[in-house]
Amino acid sequence: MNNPILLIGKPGSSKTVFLSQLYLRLQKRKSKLKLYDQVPNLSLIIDALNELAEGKEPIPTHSEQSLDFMLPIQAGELKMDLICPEYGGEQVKRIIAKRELDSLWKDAVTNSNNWLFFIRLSEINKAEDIADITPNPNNVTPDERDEEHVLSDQAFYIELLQILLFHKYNDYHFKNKKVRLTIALTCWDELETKDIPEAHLKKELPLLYAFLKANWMSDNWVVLGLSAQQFRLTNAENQDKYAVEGPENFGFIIDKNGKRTDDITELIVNAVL
Amino acid sequence: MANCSNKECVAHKTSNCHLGEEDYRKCEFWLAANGSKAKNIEKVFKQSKKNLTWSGDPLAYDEINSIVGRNSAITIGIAGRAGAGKTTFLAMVFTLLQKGYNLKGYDFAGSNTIIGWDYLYDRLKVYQTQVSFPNPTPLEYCRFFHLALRDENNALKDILISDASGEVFTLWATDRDHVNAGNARLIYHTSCAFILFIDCGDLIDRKGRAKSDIIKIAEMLKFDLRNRPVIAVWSKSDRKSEVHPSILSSLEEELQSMFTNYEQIDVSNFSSKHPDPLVHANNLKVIDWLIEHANRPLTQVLTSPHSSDDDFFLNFKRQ
Repeated sequence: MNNPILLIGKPGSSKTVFLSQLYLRLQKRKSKLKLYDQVPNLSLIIDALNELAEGKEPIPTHSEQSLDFMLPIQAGELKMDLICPEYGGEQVKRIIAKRELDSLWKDAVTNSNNWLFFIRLSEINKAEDIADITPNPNNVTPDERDEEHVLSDQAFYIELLQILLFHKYNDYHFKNKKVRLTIALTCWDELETKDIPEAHLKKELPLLYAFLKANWMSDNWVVLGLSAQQFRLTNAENQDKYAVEGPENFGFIIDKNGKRTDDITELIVNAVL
Repeated sequence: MANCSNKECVAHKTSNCHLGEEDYRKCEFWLAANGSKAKNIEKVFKQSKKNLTWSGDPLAYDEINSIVGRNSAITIGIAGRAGAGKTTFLAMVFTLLQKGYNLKGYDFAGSNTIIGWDYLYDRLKVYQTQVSFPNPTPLEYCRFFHLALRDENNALKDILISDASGEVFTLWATDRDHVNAGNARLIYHTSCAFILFIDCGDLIDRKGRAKSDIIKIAEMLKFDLRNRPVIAVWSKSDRKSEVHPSILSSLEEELQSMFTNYEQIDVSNFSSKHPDPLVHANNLKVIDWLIEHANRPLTQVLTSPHSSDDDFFLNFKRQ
């Protein structure tokens, strides 16, 4: 495998749309990157490719579909493979629940020194807690909730990274120089913010931000904004744009300085810098 | 998760066995109600042991070696009677870290007990304008919560904070060798810094009796304290003004006279404004102060009784 880039993200973090749009741009040679080989299996994104071509919102990938996905990408002389083990499944949730990596994930983590981590901030559960409000002390009840504890998003992401780092034999005495980490804040258009991506991550997930800052060398991790689709395909005008101009002409990233680039393949360039 | 067949057990909520079984899933009462499920969980549990060196849950005493061995971890013991707010304080610490409040001079660098922390955080979420505080800690329970921190010089610092039932401290304060005070003894011998909880609510309700109970625990802390730092945390301080002034001042004076490496601070879980120092600053300042003071060298500097000779060791020999 050539310089594998490991794509990590919860279900619903917009991996499918990104991979479909990336595949189209590479296939249609709309960027300085290209495919150096045929994609072994397109079945996991074929529905999304068809839906986007018709200007429809892609249907979320079903959890039963758990196959590997790989895009063979070339930038100049450099070949790199974007890999998603068990793509489409509830895989990252299972890693936390079962506290183990299967052999596909282990191989991917071991072999890859470039991690592309998708976080969709608009889907983050922002529960109110006691630090937010001024509750009436008389309004306190004994804890009688019986539901199972669901890990909060920040704790989830931190534990997931800790598990991946464990399999990378990370030594916490030193900041990470081995694994380049690119955090992509996906569906950036939904966030309606003027922040630069790093500042926005710090504002929304401060504990995760602190964890990243504490454990990675500053030049070995970066936060970017990504909108692979550019806008929702919920009205006829937007749907028409996709159907007529082609999905590959849409999508943008926000670089670390807040500058917009209308070429989502830049995300791959950033991931292997 | 189903309940345990032991009606008094809250393992389905806290993962802690009422009878003190290390893994509640191995307890006969749990197995009686969850036989087939337990087998599946056991399978996962064994797999997780095979793969990872931590479970994410709070650590038992025999599990802290992996942390203590990594560098010189600071172990903080929390002492105080039942209901004083010890577990809620821990929940508040993680709630504030989750919200982006920081420990002074340190970044959060991870935790081997993040599932345990998050469970506590979950208790302080707001549900339909109500907050449900953590359940009372069971008598047999004694666990450690872990924080890995990185300082401005990129050095790693591990913190372990104990959580045990307040009842064991009440027993320990009366009888240091009480058969059921093992967890208090364990925390006392393991910790290099202490938090002594003073429950303002209890001082308002039980006045002198509450004060006397606090002094008893403080006396026991003092017994073999050496130079280990102690911070007295006045919990539920939003009601401190209701504590009788004589009780307040005499308790403050007595504690001040008992300890040398000592500080006191007011904390609360109920803010009257936003941000409220009692809530948003002081809960974390407790940890700040303990880290700063536990880091100080404990040894005294030797001074030579004779200053005539340049050779330090010969000076002692002559004496």
